[in-house]
Amino acid sequence: MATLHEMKHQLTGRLCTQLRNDLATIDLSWSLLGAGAVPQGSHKEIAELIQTKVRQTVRMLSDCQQYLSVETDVDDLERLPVDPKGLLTAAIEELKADRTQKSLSFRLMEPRFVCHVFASVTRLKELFKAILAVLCQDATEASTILIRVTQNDGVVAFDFSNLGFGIPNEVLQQYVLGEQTAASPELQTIQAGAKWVQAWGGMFEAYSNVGLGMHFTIHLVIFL
Amino acid sequence: MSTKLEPGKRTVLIVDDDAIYRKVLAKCLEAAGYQALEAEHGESAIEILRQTFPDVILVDMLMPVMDGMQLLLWLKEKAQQPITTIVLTCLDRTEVAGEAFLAGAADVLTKPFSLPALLKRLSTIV
Repeated sequence: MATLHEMKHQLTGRLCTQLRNDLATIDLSWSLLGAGAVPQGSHKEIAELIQTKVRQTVRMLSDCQQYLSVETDVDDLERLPVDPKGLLTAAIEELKADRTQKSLSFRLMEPRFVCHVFASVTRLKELFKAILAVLCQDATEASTILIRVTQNDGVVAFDFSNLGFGIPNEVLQQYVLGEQTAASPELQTIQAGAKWVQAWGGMFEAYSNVGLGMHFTIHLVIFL
Repeated sequence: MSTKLEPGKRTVLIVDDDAIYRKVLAKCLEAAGYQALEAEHGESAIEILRQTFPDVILVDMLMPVMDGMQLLLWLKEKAQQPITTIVLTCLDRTEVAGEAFLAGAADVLTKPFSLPALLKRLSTIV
């Protein structure tokens, strides 16, 4: 319940931010029409821009209302708008505490603000941790685990990679995307995670190169 | 992409990922006598800056690909000459102002702001 409450709190904050942006557009449009500074012929175009923005805003409010409803309960946690940035940072911090023996370092490259994405608020962090754990196990001594977050075209992409020993790519594909039972609990979580990501409307990719290391990518659909 | 500008007219580059907002703001600025250029994020703004030199940049903070803070830092470190930049953000001013000023922003306005307030600010700059 605490997780759900936190999710709703974060979503409300993001909603307020987006509303300010939409209000700014509507307000500027009215200023433009009111000032009489544009030719009569442009009035229809500006009115249409206002209508489009109002429609977008109403749709967004309606979507948010669904997720912010008091009836949204823990049973609905499987696909909700979540803030992935906090979950990723928490997963890295927990892994850092566990993995000091190899002197590994983590390099996180991410935008200052990351959009909310559709995922399970409980399972996304579990998946992040499993991926990072596998990369740490495979990594060479004193190397760096790279995490790169990018967002474009309605999708946030999380790229995880290491400099490590790697395994044959066919084996990884069988473990992660196939039906073969994975060797470790972390790989089993990743195997399940690939299906979770699909259920969230996203895409999961894994790649390994012997002697070079491993690479995992999660693409998640942006909500707001 | 080629960017043709009318000589002698003050130019404002709007960097914002909301296409409708960009279009409306561009019309507001054009009505006030400026010429407006538009970019949907920091990277496309840099593309424009390689070809032309606006008098002012109006930049949003939350954008995909390259956000406002990254663009401010690029301008500070790599731009051929300083360009006055105003941040237009829907985030709380206190959340971004300190960092934005350190990165070289001349001002931070919180959306929604009044058009006269923006025009007044622009008139003191260009």
